[in-house]
Amino acid sequence: MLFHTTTFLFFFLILLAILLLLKSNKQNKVVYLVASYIFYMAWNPAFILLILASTVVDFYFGKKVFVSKSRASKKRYLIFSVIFNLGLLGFFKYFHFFEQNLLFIFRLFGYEPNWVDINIILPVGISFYTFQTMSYTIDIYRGKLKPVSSFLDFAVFVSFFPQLVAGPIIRASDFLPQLKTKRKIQFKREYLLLILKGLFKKAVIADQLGVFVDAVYANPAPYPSSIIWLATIAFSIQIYSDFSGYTDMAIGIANILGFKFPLNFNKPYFAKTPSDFWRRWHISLSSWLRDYLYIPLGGNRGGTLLTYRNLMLTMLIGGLWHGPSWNFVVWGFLHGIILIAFRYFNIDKFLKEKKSALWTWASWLFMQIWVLITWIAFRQTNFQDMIVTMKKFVLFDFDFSLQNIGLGRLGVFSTIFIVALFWFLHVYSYKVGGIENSWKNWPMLKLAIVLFGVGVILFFLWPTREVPFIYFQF
Amino acid sequence: MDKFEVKGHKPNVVGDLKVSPKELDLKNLILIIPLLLGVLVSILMLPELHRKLPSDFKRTKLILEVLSGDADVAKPDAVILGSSIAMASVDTKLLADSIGDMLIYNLASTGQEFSESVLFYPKFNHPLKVVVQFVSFDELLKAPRLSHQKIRHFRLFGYEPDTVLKSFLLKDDWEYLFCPDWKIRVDSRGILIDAINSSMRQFFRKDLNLAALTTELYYPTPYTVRLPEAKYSAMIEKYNPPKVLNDIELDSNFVARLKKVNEYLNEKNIKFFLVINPVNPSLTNYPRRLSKKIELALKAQLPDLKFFNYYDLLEDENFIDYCHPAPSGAKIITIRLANDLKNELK
Repeated sequence: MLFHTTTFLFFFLILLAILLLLKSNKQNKVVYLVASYIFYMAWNPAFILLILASTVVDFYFGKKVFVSKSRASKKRYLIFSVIFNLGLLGFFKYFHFFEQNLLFIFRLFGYEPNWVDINIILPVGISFYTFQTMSYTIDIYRGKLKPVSSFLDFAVFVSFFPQLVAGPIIRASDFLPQLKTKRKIQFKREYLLLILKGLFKKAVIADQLGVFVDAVYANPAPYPSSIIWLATIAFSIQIYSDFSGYTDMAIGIANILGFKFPLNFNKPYFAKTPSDFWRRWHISLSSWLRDYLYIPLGGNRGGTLLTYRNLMLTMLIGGLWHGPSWNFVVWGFLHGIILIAFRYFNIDKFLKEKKSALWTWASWLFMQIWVLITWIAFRQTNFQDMIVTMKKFVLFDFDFSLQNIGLGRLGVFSTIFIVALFWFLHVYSYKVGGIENSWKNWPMLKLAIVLFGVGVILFFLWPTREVPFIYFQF
Repeated sequence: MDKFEVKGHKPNVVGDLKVSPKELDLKNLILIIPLLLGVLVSILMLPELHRKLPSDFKRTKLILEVLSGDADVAKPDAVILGSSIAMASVDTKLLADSIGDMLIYNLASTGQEFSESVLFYPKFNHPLKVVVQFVSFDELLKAPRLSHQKIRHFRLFGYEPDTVLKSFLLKDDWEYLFCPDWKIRVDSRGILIDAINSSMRQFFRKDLNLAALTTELYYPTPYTVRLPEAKYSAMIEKYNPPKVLNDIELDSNFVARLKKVNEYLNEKNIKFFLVINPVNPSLTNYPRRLSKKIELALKAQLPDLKFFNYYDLLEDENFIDYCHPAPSGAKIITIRLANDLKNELK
């Protein structure tokens, strides 16, 4: 069930109607849980069993970790929980990846194993909810969190539908306190505007750009560098608008239901350094990786070389989290390299000390071009095509001829238009401190006129095909 | 420490987590009205915008006006139909000069495959006597479906479908042709994106005679200059099938539709000729020997159909790109077509 479909609209309206009739917090929570399970089962009913299993296991092991007296016993229960969660993730997400790589190695040695091929479907949202449940048990083990006594509360925390399939990854400490009191529905202007903003980002920006990106990236060889650059810039905007659009809608929907969600994106394309980028991009994942991977690995506490190793490992695993494919590892590697390089040359400190506009701009430009290169690795799963695309991107051919690039069908000019529209709105949003926060104070008439215009734009730029959210596949 | 608090982890959410909002703020839902109003007004003004905005499909309007007699030109005695290959293949002024005493229009248009051309057939009336339908080799093997985008443009140009089309079209296309007006409007919302691409292409592609698309009735091709060699080669590589085509089998559905069209036009006393598009010999995986095979297949399955096979008529230098004939190619095709028609119309 996608947020930008009429099916979801009806689902949400029915849910709101039911919630408005309920009196107690417990009734509310039961409805959240049932609604969340229906939301998930609309995709594939069978996989709700996985969520249930994950819920039961972590609820049980969380308690066990807490009540265990000895450190060893606590550790044992934690390991069970982590193995269970990583096992689920490993089997459903990475089984074919490991199988294919093992097959490749066997073949190198001239051995052809006779394996029975099994078809494994990747359950939507598994990467998100397993990380969420793992963090819960780990926090209890670390003594930072007490286990929740109500199974219902925990089940709602694991499966809450606005963030179930594509995040943001929520910490128990952020979410569970909100279940203590009955959440009340509220249609604040900024919530409605946030949903509208997400819808606009997804439908008008991401899905429109996706048509061009898909066409160019499917076969990059015939295109000149100028088109490869345009497609890569378009993809960088597509993936941001798609994912942050989803997050905006998720946060807006949760807000209407009376919940608060963490910020997941903070204008990452304004980042001037790699660490700045990771403080702005998919914040809930990068902070998760920091707290549960980078710091346990030793963080920056073990000297320079170990810090570099920890950074690189975190980025490689972060890359692989996105999907069972080597291109994501390359993506992580490129981010790891630049993080290490900036740390090695102490560029963050240099920029702070210099305070020169020229250096700031230069750093921003360099960082964004590097991010574009990393997006090529992210988007191109085929290695040969990845190399062709990167080569054309880096070794610019100065071929601006518009012949032989199927301008009409490809939509070069509409892509330029959408890219310009995105940057205009992005800078405007930055200047006013977020469109939803700025527009909420406008007089009703002014807002109504603007919304009328938004309605016109939404109609004409709403894509003619339904496109799922990119991060659903992760 | 609170039960749920994580040491060192500051909650990343705005506001007090335990405080639930008090007011419903239902009045804000009124803001949905102007938004919906914007959508509604867009739906209402879409046909008008469709008429005003530039589009690659404006030629369809011209063709419909010529056939209905609404255009400021005489009605034709013969017409050429087909895709951009047909547009680039026949200069009907030269054709008419060779045949004599006939007004012939080239009413081919971009992407006009057979399934689209049939939409024009019920509009044929006096004095039209001859229809020459160009089809591609690939169409004969696997007839493409009629694009719904094309159907929408026809409907928005005021096209009124005839029930006879039921036997010429696939069920799904036929149903869409008759779908409600509001659906056509909603599905046509991409016209703004099309207009951006179309108008900017007209601005930037000075090497193309794009004005010909909306005005020219005799030799409407925008393609006149051969691509630079590197681009030409890249295009050949891109469009050459990955494997050599050896055996062919005509699409049975396409054959059945051709048969019905032939019978329908014969009943209207209009002579129908099928032309197989020329194929660029540089596309080596379309071997020359297939030409004979198509002829045999067509003769066997459609004995009453008159057709001209131009599959292997042109050489590489007669093309401007992988498929469109250059003016030199058009001259060869036109002269050959004139001779073939003269023989048949004797």
